[in-house]
Amino acid sequence: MARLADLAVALAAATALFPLAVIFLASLMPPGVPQFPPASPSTEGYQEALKLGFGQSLLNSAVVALLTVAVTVALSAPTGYALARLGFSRQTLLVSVALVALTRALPPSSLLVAIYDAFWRLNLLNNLLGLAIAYQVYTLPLGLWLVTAFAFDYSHEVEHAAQLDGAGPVRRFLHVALPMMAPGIAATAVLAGIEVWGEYLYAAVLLNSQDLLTASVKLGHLATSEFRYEWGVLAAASFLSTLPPVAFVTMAARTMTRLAVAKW
Amino acid sequence: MRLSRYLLVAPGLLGLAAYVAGLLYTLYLSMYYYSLFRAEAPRFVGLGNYLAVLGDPTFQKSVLVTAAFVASATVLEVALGVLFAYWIYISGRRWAVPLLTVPLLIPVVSYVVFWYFAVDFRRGVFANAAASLGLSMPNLLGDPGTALWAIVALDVLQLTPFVVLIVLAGMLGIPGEVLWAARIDGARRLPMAFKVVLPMSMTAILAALMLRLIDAFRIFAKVWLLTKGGPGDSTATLEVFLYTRGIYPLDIGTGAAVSILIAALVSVVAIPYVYLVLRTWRA
Repeated sequence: MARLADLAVALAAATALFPLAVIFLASLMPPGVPQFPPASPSTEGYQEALKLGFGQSLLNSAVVALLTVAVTVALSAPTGYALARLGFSRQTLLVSVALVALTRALPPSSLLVAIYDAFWRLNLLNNLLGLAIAYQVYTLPLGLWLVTAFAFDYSHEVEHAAQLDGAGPVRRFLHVALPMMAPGIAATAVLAGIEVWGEYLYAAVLLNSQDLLTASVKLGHLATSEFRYEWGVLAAASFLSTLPPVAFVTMAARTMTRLAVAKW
Repeated sequence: MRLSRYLLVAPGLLGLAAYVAGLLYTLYLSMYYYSLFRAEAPRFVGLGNYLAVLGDPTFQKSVLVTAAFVASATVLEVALGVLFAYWIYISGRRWAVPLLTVPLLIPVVSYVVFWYFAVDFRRGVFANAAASLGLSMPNLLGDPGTALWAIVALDVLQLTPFVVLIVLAGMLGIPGEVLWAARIDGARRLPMAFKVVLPMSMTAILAALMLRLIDAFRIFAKVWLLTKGGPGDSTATLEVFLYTRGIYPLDIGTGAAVSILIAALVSVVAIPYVYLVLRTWRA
């Protein structure tokens, strides 16, 4: 039984990594040679992907993700702190939590038509900042959810001392709560960034200039165009767009551990 | 003092208020005949858009396709997820856990590209393997009988680890004393699994089930990029219908009505989920 379990764990790990491994190997396929795994690996797929403007798309995705995360943190950090720490009634808290859970559960597509119509009027279509604002539909409920939970967690003593010294809520938030919640806020930022990095529907609908497309939409275009069978190019573009989220998680894990160590 | 308290709580709550306003605006738009392509002013049609959509056989088909997708993908993911979580739990092989986050980090479009590559019936990886065994690869995505299942399989491949992570977290939260007591009472492996480990991680399993249900309704990118809803309308889910009938032709009124119908359908799962969340917060 224990052996069966070991086998199953190995299988789970293998299936989790298999697609990424296939994409990486396929990205080294030279053009016109449909042999997998490639006998003579080449980087032509990557060169071709960059020539098709994939670098610009990656940059667009990064800009959108950063803007989205900045807005989400700015909106959710003070609110999460206030809900957890500033003595709002239990009822206020539960209503807020219910609203956050409901907005997390409803599909973002439910708001897409209204956003399209509003952005049409406000001239925010085909605009990276507009997309970042629309992405709050995905990330704001997530951010509020996580920050409120983190705000409940950290120790009350320091804040209590600051309060006795006469610091008001805003100063306590800026000088006590923010530094203490920093690891939690970093984790929230990373999760929100990952959530929107690979998003397809909103990006495909709200952007249309070639030079503004995000990596996901650009890759979707390539995969349904005449490049459909250029495995090397498609796989290279896919592999490039998986790197930032993976790197971010690793980096954030490191920062979070360092912060935790520094605190003690 | 009191004012600054409200100042701090306001930003996020205003964001949520904007979300609710967006839903109300959608409800308002859904009662108008209103297309951004035409110059004419929006015309009030009451429930007209809803009646037109509900009477449309393509919409009815998309409800069935979505239900088939949501049910099969969720059942498979939760069943496999609980099984693998239990195996990781009893084998103590925690090193596998970080690896399981990888599929959740990879953009869905990259998974689609992988799937093109894997199941393409002429030049894919499986096709080559089948050819070397003297078999031929069926055209899974081109056959209306199998296309949906090919998409379900991809979804299971990518999202089962999500269930594993949540359920495993629940299992690791079971106090050691409980397991000890059960062992002293002579519980063997299978009774231990069914009478102790599974019941005690039921909240986590329920949460994973609901989150997967909620998310499965949002199936768009995988379908759109793999089959565009075809062949025929055999894989056209609700969000594909929303895209092809509402957003692409800029028919805002119809799109808004479809959005509201999707939200209403998801509420069947979303409201019990909110209830579950509130129950854990109250404790």
